[in-house]
Amino acid sequence: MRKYVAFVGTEGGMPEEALAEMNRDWPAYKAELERRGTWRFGRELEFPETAVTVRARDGETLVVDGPFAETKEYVAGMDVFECADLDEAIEVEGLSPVARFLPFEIRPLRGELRLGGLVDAFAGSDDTAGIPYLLSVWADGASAESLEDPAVLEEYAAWQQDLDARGAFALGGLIGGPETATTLRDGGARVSDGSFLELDEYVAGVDVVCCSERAQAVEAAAAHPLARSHTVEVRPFYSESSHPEHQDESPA
Amino acid sequence: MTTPAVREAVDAAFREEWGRVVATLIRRTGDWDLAEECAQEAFAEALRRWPADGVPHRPGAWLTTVAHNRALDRLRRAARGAELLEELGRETAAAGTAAAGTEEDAMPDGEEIEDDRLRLIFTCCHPALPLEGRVALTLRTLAGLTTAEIARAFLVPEATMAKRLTRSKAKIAAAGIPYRVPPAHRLPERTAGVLAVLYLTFNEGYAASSGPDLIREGLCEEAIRLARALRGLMPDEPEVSGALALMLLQHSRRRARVGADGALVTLEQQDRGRWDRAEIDEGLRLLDDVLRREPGPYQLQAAIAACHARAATAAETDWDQIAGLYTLLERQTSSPVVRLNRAVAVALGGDLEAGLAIVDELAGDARLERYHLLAATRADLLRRRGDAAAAVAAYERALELAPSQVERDYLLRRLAEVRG
Repeated sequence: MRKYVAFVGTEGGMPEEALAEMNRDWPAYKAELERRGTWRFGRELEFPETAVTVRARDGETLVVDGPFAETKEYVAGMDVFECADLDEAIEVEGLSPVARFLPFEIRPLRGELRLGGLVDAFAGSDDTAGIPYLLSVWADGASAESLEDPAVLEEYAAWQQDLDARGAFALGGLIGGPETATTLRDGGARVSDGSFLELDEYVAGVDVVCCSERAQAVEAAAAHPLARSHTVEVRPFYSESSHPEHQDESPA
Repeated sequence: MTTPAVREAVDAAFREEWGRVVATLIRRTGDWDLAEECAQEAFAEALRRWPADGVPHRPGAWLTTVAHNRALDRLRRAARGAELLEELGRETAAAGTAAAGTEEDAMPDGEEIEDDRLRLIFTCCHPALPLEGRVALTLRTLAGLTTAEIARAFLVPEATMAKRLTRSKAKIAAAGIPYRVPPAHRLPERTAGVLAVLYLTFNEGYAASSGPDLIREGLCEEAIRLARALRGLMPDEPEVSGALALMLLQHSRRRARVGADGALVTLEQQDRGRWDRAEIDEGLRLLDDVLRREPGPYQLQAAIAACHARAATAAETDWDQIAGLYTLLERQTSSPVVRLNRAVAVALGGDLEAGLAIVDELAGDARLERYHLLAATRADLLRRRGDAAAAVAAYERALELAPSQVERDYLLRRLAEVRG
């Protein structure tokens, strides 16, 4: 079996009918995944404006408000799942009611996907241990080398272990670059090579850390070994604990 | 055996068997480069051994076994993939031989080999690969063209083509594109994807056949050969037969569509005696076998080409039927180019004004704004109506947009005629 990450793209704003349809068909989709025995979960992200970017240079931490890239289409959610191959991945993600309306970009894991103590809580939207934050490592051609550096990778594993030991880590790993990406549209009826984001830079790794304060997530990002050669974007996932007013209407 | 006779036998085996050998090796080893290299070595070995030993009864089986043993040797030398080695060893043992010399017996049954070729076709044409990579992989691994040949055919530097191939193979491995025939519910769309790759390859060669470059023209033959092989593997898919028929019917006109001076000759003015009868007959036969109530786009296009093929002279063309077929095609593709073609059929079928009305309507379609054939068609219909001044203006517009010298030359001749 192979592990994959899928990014859900959006330009924001969804027609009411689409939202209604997604919510209506969501339980049937969950049931279908259960029937297939597919290991899969996904979470919705907060808007890009809620993000900050973090760089660590010469011992200094640079934090800038806003997302790494200001694009019309942006990542609105992330799925993590396991499948036999890309065809099955296309099948499983294409069945999602969300995939009827939004593009999905599927990326294979580059190495291991490390699962932490909070993975089940994250998957089950149980955020009592803290709001989950997505730490995405943005790379470009020039900085790609350090993604292969064994010393950096060792440090990266230690960073993940340390967060896990402190009870703040859900999952994380490096993912294949845009040359390994496949984008689905129209529920998998249209499949194409490459990313839906037309940028030179790309997300090369994802980690999910759970924190009670955003400052802690930023601190974790600053300590990320790849923050020294890349930019780490920190963005919260949508959580009912941060939106008590929406508790009855959010999708699963 | 004489050397030329052996070379001929090896060449024939190469055309027939290359794809099979590579397809089977990829399934067994999962390594595309290894499969290609070992297949290449097997053909080199055939050139060395067949002169003395004679051509084996089943050249494909012989070649596959030699390639298989080479793969085994290489993996052993590289001391990697213990599991893979064991698996390969088992296949060798199961086939009843480990020694060279009895290689023909080492072949699994024919059905599995055919499945391997289908697996290879569908993997090469997987929609998650870039389109140009799909075309390159198909020509390299299935048809056995070298990287240099494919590069020349597509007018790009060899290094660029090599990169395309490497990148596509890397994506197959990294993204986990399976080596498998797609499941039944995905088969129609994936088959359409395969046909698109073959037809694109064909058109690349067909568009080039005015030039002196034989390699580019050879793309047509490769596409037809691959379509024929695909039809053998999927005899019940009417669109596969339709695509093959379409290519054959178009290809049948290749000698008539370029004049002695290298200039383009329109269908109307072509010497139909120069059309390839054998290809027309094969195309028509294929089409008769498959045309159903709701034919797909390849069958419809083939049926249109068949209308031309059946007409002994341009004047005898059944334009009404062609217009009707374009109407069906337009429903499936909603392409403005198809509508433009329908306009021509309507006009030449006798209703010049109705045809021109469709063309004028299309002038408002942004997708055709820079399409030289819209202006050229309009010019031609105006010329037929005897509206010389308007025709001149339209030819001039078409000239501005025409992409190739051959087409500009044709338009210039027409323009001179209209100006009188």
